[in-house]
Amino acid sequence: MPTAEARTGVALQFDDADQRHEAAKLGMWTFLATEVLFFGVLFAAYTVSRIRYPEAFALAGGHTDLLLGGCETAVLITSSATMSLALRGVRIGASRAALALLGVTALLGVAFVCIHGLEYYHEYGEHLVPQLDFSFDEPHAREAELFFWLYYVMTGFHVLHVLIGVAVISAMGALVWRRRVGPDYDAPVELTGLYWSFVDVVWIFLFPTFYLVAR
Amino acid sequence: MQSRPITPVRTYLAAWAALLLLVPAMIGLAYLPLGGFTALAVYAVGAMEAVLVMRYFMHLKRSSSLTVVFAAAGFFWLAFLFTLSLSDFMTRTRIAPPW
Repeated sequence: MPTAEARTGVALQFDDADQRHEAAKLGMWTFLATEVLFFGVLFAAYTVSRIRYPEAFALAGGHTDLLLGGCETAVLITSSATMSLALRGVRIGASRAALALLGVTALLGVAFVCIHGLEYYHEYGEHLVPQLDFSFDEPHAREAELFFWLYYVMTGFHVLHVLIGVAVISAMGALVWRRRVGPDYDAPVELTGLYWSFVDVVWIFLFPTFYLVAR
Repeated sequence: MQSRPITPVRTYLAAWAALLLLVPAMIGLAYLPLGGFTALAVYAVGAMEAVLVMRYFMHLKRSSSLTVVFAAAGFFWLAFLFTLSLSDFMTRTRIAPPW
Protein backbone atom coordinates (compact mmCIF):
# COMPACT_ATOMS: atom_id res chain seq x y z
CA MET A 1 0.00 0.00 0.00
CA PRO A 2 1.47 3.41 -0.96
CA THR A 3 2.10 5.80 1.92
CA ALA A 4 0.23 9.10 2.21
CA GLU A 5 3.41 10.89 1.28
CA ALA A 6 3.77 8.91 -1.91
CA ARG A 7 0.15 9.65 -2.88
CA THR A 8 0.14 13.42 -2.29
CA GLY A 9 3.85 14.27 -2.55
CA VAL A 10 3.78 15.94 0.87
CA ALA A 11 4.25 14.71 4.46
CA LEU A 12 1.39 12.93 6.24
CA GLN A 13 0.11 15.96 8.17
CA PHE A 14 -0.63 18.00 5.02
CA ASP A 15 -3.47 17.61 2.49
CA ASP A 16 -1.46 19.00 -0.40
CA ALA A 17 1.49 21.21 -1.36
CA ASP A 18 -0.55 24.43 -1.03
CA GLN A 19 -1.51 23.65 2.55
CA ARG A 20 2.13 22.88 3.35
CA HIS A 21 3.14 26.23 1.84
CA GLU A 22 0.48 28.05 3.90
CA ALA A 23 1.64 26.30 7.10
CA ALA A 24 5.25 27.29 6.40
CA LYS A 25 4.21 30.93 5.94
CA LEU A 26 2.24 30.93 9.20
CA GLY A 27 5.27 29.51 11.01
CA MET A 28 7.47 32.26 9.63
CA TRP A 29 4.98 34.98 10.62
CA THR A 30 4.87 33.50 14.12
CA PHE A 31 8.65 33.78 14.33
CA LEU A 32 8.44 37.35 13.01
CA ALA A 33 5.89 38.18 15.76
CA THR A 34 8.53 37.17 18.33
CA GLU A 35 11.00 39.38 16.46
CA VAL A 36 8.54 42.29 16.67
CA LEU A 37 8.58 41.88 20.45
CA PHE A 38 12.38 41.47 20.56
CA PHE A 39 12.90 44.83 18.84
CA GLY A 40 9.71 46.17 20.45
CA VAL A 41 11.09 46.18 23.99
CA LEU A 42 14.14 48.09 22.78
CA PHE A 43 11.88 50.64 21.05
CA ALA A 44 9.85 50.90 24.27
CA ALA A 45 13.04 51.51 26.29
CA TYR A 46 14.00 54.21 23.79
CA THR A 47 10.55 55.85 23.93
CA VAL A 48 10.55 55.99 27.73
CA SER A 49 14.10 57.42 27.77
CA ARG A 50 13.33 60.02 25.10
CA ILE A 51 10.22 61.19 26.96
CA ARG A 52 12.26 61.55 30.16
CA TYR A 53 15.31 63.25 28.60
CA PRO A 54 14.06 65.14 25.50
CA GLU A 55 16.86 67.76 25.45
CA ALA A 56 19.65 65.18 25.78
CA PHE A 57 18.16 62.99 23.02
CA ALA A 58 17.79 66.02 20.74
CA LEU A 59 21.46 66.97 21.27
CA ALA A 60 22.75 63.40 20.91
CA GLY A 61 20.53 62.77 17.86
CA GLY A 62 22.35 65.57 16.05
CA HIS A 63 25.54 63.47 16.06
CA THR A 64 24.31 60.62 13.85
CA ASP A 65 25.03 60.77 10.12
CA LEU A 66 21.75 61.55 8.32
CA LEU A 67 23.25 61.21 4.81
CA LEU A 68 24.67 57.73 5.44
CA GLY A 69 21.50 56.71 7.31
CA GLY A 70 19.36 57.84 4.36
CA CYS A 71 21.57 55.86 1.95
CA GLU A 72 21.19 52.77 4.15
CA THR A 73 17.40 53.17 4.04
CA ALA A 74 17.39 53.34 0.23
CA VAL A 75 19.76 50.35 0.01
CA LEU A 76 17.57 48.15 2.24
CA ILE A 77 14.31 49.16 0.50
CA THR A 78 15.88 48.35 -2.87
CA SER A 79 17.16 45.00 -1.58
CA SER A 80 13.66 44.16 -0.34
CA ALA A 81 12.33 44.84 -3.87
CA THR A 82 15.03 42.69 -5.53
CA MET A 83 14.32 39.88 -3.04
CA SER A 84 10.61 39.94 -3.97
CA LEU A 85 11.54 39.88 -7.67
CA ALA A 86 13.87 36.93 -6.99
CA LEU A 87 10.95 35.00 -5.48
CA ARG A 88 8.89 35.84 -8.55
CA GLY A 89 11.73 34.54 -10.72
CA VAL A 90 11.83 31.22 -8.83
CA ARG A 91 8.03 30.95 -9.05
CA ILE A 92 7.85 31.45 -12.83
CA GLY A 93 10.87 29.19 -13.43
CA ALA A 94 13.31 31.95 -14.45
CA SER A 95 16.10 30.53 -12.30
CA ARG A 96 18.93 32.54 -13.94
CA ALA A 97 17.16 35.85 -13.25
CA ALA A 98 16.32 34.62 -9.74
CA LEU A 99 19.96 33.76 -9.09
CA ALA A 100 21.11 37.19 -10.33
CA LEU A 101 18.48 38.96 -8.19
CA LEU A 102 19.44 36.95 -5.10
CA GLY A 103 23.07 37.95 -5.75
CA VAL A 104 22.10 41.63 -6.00
CA THR A 105 20.05 41.34 -2.78
CA ALA A 106 22.95 39.78 -0.87
CA LEU A 107 25.36 42.42 -2.21
CA LEU A 108 22.99 45.23 -1.15
CA GLY A 109 22.89 43.63 2.31
CA VAL A 110 26.70 43.62 2.42
CA ALA A 111 26.69 47.26 1.24
CA PHE A 112 24.35 48.14 4.11
CA VAL A 113 26.67 46.52 6.64
CA CYS A 114 29.70 48.32 5.13
CA ILE A 115 28.00 51.74 5.26
CA HIS A 116 27.00 51.05 8.84
CA GLY A 117 30.55 50.00 9.70
CA LEU A 118 31.76 53.30 8.25
CA GLU A 119 29.31 55.13 10.53
CA TYR A 120 30.49 53.21 13.60
CA TYR A 121 34.08 54.06 12.64
CA HIS A 122 33.28 57.79 12.37
CA GLU A 123 31.47 57.72 15.72
CA TYR A 124 34.40 55.96 17.34
CA GLY A 125 36.60 58.81 16.05
CA GLU A 126 34.19 61.30 17.65
CA HIS A 127 34.38 59.51 21.04
CA LEU A 128 30.73 58.50 20.96
CA VAL A 129 30.99 54.84 21.98
CA PRO A 130 29.63 54.27 25.53
CA GLN A 131 31.92 52.34 27.91
CA LEU A 132 34.73 52.15 25.37
CA ASP A 133 35.42 55.78 24.59
CA PHE A 134 32.73 58.32 25.38
CA SER A 135 33.06 62.06 25.84
CA PHE A 136 30.29 64.54 25.17
CA ASP A 137 31.13 68.26 25.35
CA GLU A 138 27.52 69.43 25.37
CA PRO A 139 25.20 69.35 28.41
CA HIS A 140 23.38 66.15 29.50
CA ALA A 141 26.39 63.91 28.81
CA ARG A 142 25.06 61.02 30.94
CA GLU A 143 21.70 60.98 29.18
CA ALA A 144 23.38 61.35 25.77
CA GLU A 145 25.41 58.26 26.63
CA LEU A 146 22.10 56.44 27.16
CA PHE A 147 21.02 57.53 23.66
CA PHE A 148 24.20 56.08 22.16
CA TRP A 149 23.91 52.93 24.25
CA LEU A 150 20.45 52.35 22.74
CA TYR A 151 21.79 53.31 19.30
CA TYR A 152 24.52 50.65 19.40
CA VAL A 153 22.35 47.91 20.89
CA MET A 154 19.45 48.45 18.47
CA THR A 155 21.45 49.06 15.28
CA GLY A 156 23.93 46.34 16.34
CA PHE A 157 21.21 43.71 16.65
CA HIS A 158 19.77 44.95 13.37
CA VAL A 159 23.14 44.58 11.62
CA LEU A 160 23.34 41.04 13.05
CA HIS A 161 19.94 40.31 11.47
CA VAL A 162 21.18 41.70 8.14
CA LEU A 163 24.28 39.46 8.29
CA ILE A 164 22.13 36.38 9.03
CA GLY A 165 19.88 37.45 6.13
CA VAL A 166 22.86 37.69 3.75
CA ALA A 167 23.94 34.17 4.77
CA VAL A 168 20.44 32.74 4.26
CA ILE A 169 20.01 34.54 0.91
CA SER A 170 23.34 33.05 -0.23
CA ALA A 171 22.07 29.60 0.81
CA MET A 172 18.92 30.26 -1.27
CA GLY A 173 21.19 31.05 -4.21
CA ALA A 174 22.79 27.63 -3.76
CA LEU A 175 19.34 25.98 -3.68
CA VAL A 176 18.30 27.73 -6.90
CA TRP A 177 21.64 26.81 -8.51
CA ARG A 178 21.20 23.12 -7.61
CA ARG A 179 17.52 23.30 -8.71
CA ARG A 180 16.30 22.28 -5.26
CA VAL A 181 13.70 25.05 -5.44
CA GLY A 182 11.59 26.01 -8.44
CA PRO A 183 8.01 26.63 -9.57
CA ASP A 184 6.79 23.51 -7.72
CA TYR A 185 8.48 24.26 -4.42
CA ASP A 186 9.51 27.79 -3.45
CA ALA A 187 8.70 27.98 0.28
CA PRO A 188 12.36 28.44 1.41
CA VAL A 189 12.75 31.45 -0.89
CA GLU A 190 9.40 32.98 0.16
CA LEU A 191 10.24 32.56 3.88
CA THR A 192 13.67 34.13 3.33
CA GLY A 193 11.93 37.03 1.59
CA LEU A 194 9.56 37.46 4.56
CA TYR A 195 12.51 37.58 6.96
CA TRP A 196 14.47 39.97 4.76
CA SER A 197 11.55 42.40 4.33
CA PHE A 198 10.93 42.26 8.08
CA VAL A 199 14.54 43.35 8.66
CA ASP A 200 13.76 46.21 6.26
CA VAL A 201 10.65 47.15 8.30
CA VAL A 202 12.75 47.27 11.50
CA TRP A 203 15.19 49.64 9.79
CA ILE A 204 12.31 51.83 8.53
CA PHE A 205 11.55 52.51 12.21
CA LEU A 206 15.19 52.66 13.37
CA PHE A 207 15.96 55.37 10.82
CA PRO A 208 13.63 58.09 12.25
CA THR A 209 14.44 56.87 15.78
CA PHE A 210 18.15 57.70 15.59
CA TYR A 211 18.66 59.95 12.55
CA LEU A 212 15.63 62.26 12.63
CA VAL A 213 15.52 63.32 16.30
CA ALA A 214 14.92 67.08 16.49
CA ARG A 215 16.63 67.96 13.19
CA MET B 1 -2.38 27.96 -6.28
CA GLN B 2 -4.07 30.69 -4.24
CA SER B 3 -1.28 30.67 -1.64
CA ARG B 4 1.39 31.19 -4.30
CA PRO B 5 0.26 34.11 -6.46
CA ILE B 6 2.56 35.59 -9.11
CA THR B 7 2.69 39.35 -8.59
CA PRO B 8 3.32 41.47 -11.72
CA VAL B 9 6.75 43.14 -11.91
CA ARG B 10 5.16 46.60 -12.19
CA THR B 11 3.46 46.15 -8.78
CA TYR B 12 6.86 45.57 -7.14
CA LEU B 13 8.40 48.50 -9.03
CA ALA B 14 5.51 50.81 -8.06
CA ALA B 15 5.86 49.84 -4.38
CA TRP B 16 9.64 50.36 -4.57
CA ALA B 17 9.22 53.81 -6.19
CA ALA B 18 6.60 54.83 -3.60
CA LEU B 19 8.91 53.75 -0.77
CA LEU B 20 11.86 55.68 -2.23
CA LEU B 21 9.66 58.81 -2.44
CA LEU B 22 8.48 58.43 1.16
CA VAL B 23 12.06 58.44 2.55
CA PRO B 24 12.80 62.08 1.52
CA ALA B 25 9.25 62.99 2.60
CA MET B 26 10.06 61.59 6.04
CA ILE B 27 13.35 63.52 6.22
CA GLY B 28 11.59 66.71 5.05
CA LEU B 29 8.94 66.37 7.76
CA ALA B 30 11.66 66.01 10.40
CA TYR B 31 12.93 69.51 9.51
CA LEU B 32 9.49 71.18 9.68
CA PRO B 33 8.83 73.20 12.85
CA LEU B 34 5.86 71.18 14.07
CA GLY B 35 6.91 71.08 17.72
CA GLY B 36 5.89 67.89 19.47
CA PHE B 37 4.04 66.70 16.38
CA THR B 38 7.23 66.24 14.32
CA ALA B 39 7.96 62.83 15.81
CA LEU B 40 4.33 61.81 15.33
CA ALA B 41 4.36 62.88 11.65
CA VAL B 42 7.70 61.16 10.99
CA TYR B 43 6.57 57.86 12.54
CA ALA B 44 3.26 58.09 10.63
CA VAL B 45 5.28 58.13 7.38
CA GLY B 46 7.32 55.21 8.79
CA ALA B 47 4.10 53.29 9.41
CA MET B 48 2.99 53.98 5.82
CA GLU B 49 6.31 52.61 4.55
CA ALA B 50 6.01 49.53 6.77
CA VAL B 51 2.48 48.87 5.48
CA LEU B 52 3.72 49.16 1.87
CA VAL B 53 6.55 46.69 2.53
CA MET B 54 4.24 44.22 4.27
CA ARG B 55 1.43 44.50 1.69
CA TYR B 56 3.56 44.16 -1.43
CA PHE B 57 7.01 42.74 -0.60
CA MET B 58 5.69 40.41 2.11
CA HIS B 59 2.57 39.68 0.03
CA LEU B 60 0.02 40.30 2.78
CA LYS B 61 -2.27 41.82 0.14
CA ARG B 62 -2.63 38.42 -1.50
CA SER B 63 -2.32 36.23 1.60
CA SER B 64 -5.09 34.46 3.49
CA SER B 65 -6.90 36.26 6.32
CA LEU B 66 -5.29 33.83 8.77
CA THR B 67 -1.81 34.96 7.65
CA VAL B 68 -2.85 38.61 8.12
CA VAL B 69 -4.06 37.80 11.66
CA PHE B 70 -0.71 36.12 12.45
CA ALA B 71 1.12 39.16 11.06
CA ALA B 72 -1.00 41.56 13.11
CA ALA B 73 -0.55 39.56 16.35
CA GLY B 74 3.00 40.77 17.02
CA PHE B 75 2.04 44.42 16.50
CA PHE B 76 -1.08 43.93 18.65
CA TRP B 77 1.06 42.83 21.62
CA LEU B 78 3.50 45.63 20.86
CA ALA B 79 0.59 48.07 21.27
CA PHE B 80 -0.09 46.55 24.72
CA LEU B 81 3.59 46.91 25.66
CA PHE B 82 3.65 50.59 24.68
CA THR B 83 0.27 51.48 26.17
CA LEU B 84 0.93 49.90 29.56
CA SER B 85 4.57 51.09 29.79
CA LEU B 86 3.74 54.66 28.86
CA SER B 87 0.63 54.83 31.04
CA ASP B 88 3.06 54.18 33.90
CA PHE B 89 6.01 56.38 32.91
CA MET B 90 3.94 59.33 31.65
CA THR B 91 1.79 59.56 34.78
CA ARG B 92 4.49 59.28 37.45
CA THR B 93 4.71 62.25 39.77
CA ARG B 94 7.23 62.82 42.52
CA ILE B 95 5.41 62.59 45.83
CA ALA B 96 7.12 64.55 48.61
CA PRO B 97 7.79 62.48 51.72
CA PRO B 98 5.56 63.53 54.61
CA TRP B 99 8.41 64.41 56.96
